[in-house]
Amino acid sequence: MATEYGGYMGKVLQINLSTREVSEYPFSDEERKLFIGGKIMAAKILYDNLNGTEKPFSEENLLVISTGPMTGSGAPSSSRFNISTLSPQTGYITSSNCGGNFGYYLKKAGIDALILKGRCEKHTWIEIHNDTVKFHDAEDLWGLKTSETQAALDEKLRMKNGRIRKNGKICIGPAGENQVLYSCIASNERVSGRGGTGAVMGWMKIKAVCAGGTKEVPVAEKEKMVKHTQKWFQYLRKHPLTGNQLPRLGTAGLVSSMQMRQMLATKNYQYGQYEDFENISGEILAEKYNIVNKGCLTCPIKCARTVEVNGKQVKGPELETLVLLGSGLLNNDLEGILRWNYELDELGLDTISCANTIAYAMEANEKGLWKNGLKFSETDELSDIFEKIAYRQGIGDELAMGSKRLSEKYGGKEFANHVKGMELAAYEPRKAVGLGLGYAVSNRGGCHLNGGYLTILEGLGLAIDQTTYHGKADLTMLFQDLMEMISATGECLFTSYAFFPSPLMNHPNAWYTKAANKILPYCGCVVRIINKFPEIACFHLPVFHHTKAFEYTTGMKMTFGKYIRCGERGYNLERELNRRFGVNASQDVLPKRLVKTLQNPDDPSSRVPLKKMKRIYYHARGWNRHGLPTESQLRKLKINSRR
Amino acid sequence: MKEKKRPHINSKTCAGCSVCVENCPMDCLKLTEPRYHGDIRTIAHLALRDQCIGCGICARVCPIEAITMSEK
Repeated sequence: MATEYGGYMGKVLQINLSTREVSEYPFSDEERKLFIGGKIMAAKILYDNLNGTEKPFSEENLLVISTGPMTGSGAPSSSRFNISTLSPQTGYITSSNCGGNFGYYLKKAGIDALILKGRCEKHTWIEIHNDTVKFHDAEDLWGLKTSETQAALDEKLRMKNGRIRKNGKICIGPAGENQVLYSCIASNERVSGRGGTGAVMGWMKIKAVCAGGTKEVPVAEKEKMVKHTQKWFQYLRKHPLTGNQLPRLGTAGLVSSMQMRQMLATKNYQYGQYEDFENISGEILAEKYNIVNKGCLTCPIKCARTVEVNGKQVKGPELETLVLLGSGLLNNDLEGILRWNYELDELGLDTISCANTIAYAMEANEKGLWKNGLKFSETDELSDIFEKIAYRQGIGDELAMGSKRLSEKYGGKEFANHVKGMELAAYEPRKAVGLGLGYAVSNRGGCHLNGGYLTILEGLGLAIDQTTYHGKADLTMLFQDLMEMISATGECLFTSYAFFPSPLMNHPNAWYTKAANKILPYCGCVVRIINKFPEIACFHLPVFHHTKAFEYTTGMKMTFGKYIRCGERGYNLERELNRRFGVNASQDVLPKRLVKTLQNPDDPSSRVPLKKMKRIYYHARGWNRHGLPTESQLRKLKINSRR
Repeated sequence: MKEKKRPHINSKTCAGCSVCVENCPMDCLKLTEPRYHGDIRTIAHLALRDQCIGCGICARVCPIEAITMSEK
């Protein structure tokens, strides 16, 4: 449906793989205004099509690949796209964000979102170019790893003049083909890692989708947008986090801070510190192995590392991979991690869930619950294990289930570190209890980003009290909503790092930084006032360029308050969809180790006070005691409850 | 004979976001190599001058107007 707004191409394309029928999915401007794009748009599409009885591997499930209005608009770090579906890990909605170039080229083809439904008869890859959709046999691609697949597709798109037609791709590796529950989808070297989107694509028998075209993203107020973007680029380049730490050290730069703050997941989250942390730190990675820092298309931050593996220049590991394959397994072999990171991407496996599942298996072996031969610190066989998982051979077939299902089979639920079936990120939450709450209530499972990423306040940016429950529920809600909306617009979440004024980052011991750290936990009431009356926040914040950029791109009036409200709508929509699939407060739980066992036996506060925080969080959200949005809350957010 | 127009990249404002590199139909724009180990600032430059057809797509897509087309 054509649109009057800038930033959108005005088309959501639906492909029924069973019948090969291609049609336009109706998505109105009123819906664009409420559900924006990216993960919120995808949640709305899933919400309107799923009733709670569908299974991830079924013809009724949808794979929704969506962009935001900022994708390809020229704003910094705006090449992001989102993939949402019913997760085979959790059975609930998953939304996975990716920095590859597929979203950028999907919009060049004139499409805001692509919906895949049904199942192909045989292995297929899809070519989208401007208004044409072609189905191709993928028998020759099936079995190839992710980079091989993309190289082979480029050859297929080579034109008569010898050049490769400009295109963006998504594809799965062997893990997705074999429906490993935590398999991912790759686009260039970036991945849509979490929630098992690759397994759903593999079940659909789709090996890859290529998109491209000649269309341009319309911008409502072009001149203003260019001037604003110039300022925004400058701001990001001068900010200590986005202009220095992230480009210099990548996300890996946080390892040392996590060690200092005792939130470095170590030995399957038994501890928060690792004696050999320096060997896996961002500093060593930058000094000894990083060749050049790289960024996603449109990004001036460039947080990605490039390293050499087997004589090839490849993407280096992110923080999560470093920690979970490093301290998580008591492994200090950084060169090994560089190689495994590459191998996992090639096989199409989510590094976070895979590493966590192996850590669970090591502990289960250590405790005699499951004799599998895997031991902490002994990592020589890991490459073989990854292959076995991707091809579902031997022990790999069991590990492909993930830690939740393994703990149900072998025991050890208290140390199977997942929420709702999806494994936790690299932050040990007993010393970052706000993130502990975020992990537990996150819509997609054990995720730091969907969980609100409160670690940025709890020691990795600012330094508020790590173990107090004060203010954590309200701040978690605010950050979840903010990040929900940033993702939905097609922006990278790292652009929000610049939300924290530079002086606070540059001078952690200054009186004003210390004051901010003391005051923030008591700002819950301010958050609730903004949440209740978003019209009060009818302004643009000087440190938050997103609202103005959104306004200039789309032509929709936007303020900070409205921005938060849109994020809140998205978060509630996902929650309400999950309710249909059985989510309630009883699924918002952490593994027993994190809530019952003290990280430090001498520190009674070193565990997550989850029960207390959950109660406050549900209240702040306007949810009932079962952790579900009330009818009036849904009405307030203009979500049709359909109960 | 009149010289062909070619892109001139303002090295002070270019943020190295790669949009021009990605969109160049002749693949003649590249990002600079790091000047030293740990150099975090790489920007776009016209690497294959002879291949440039002067189409101006790079200047049009640059989000911060850091590229101008001129005959110099």
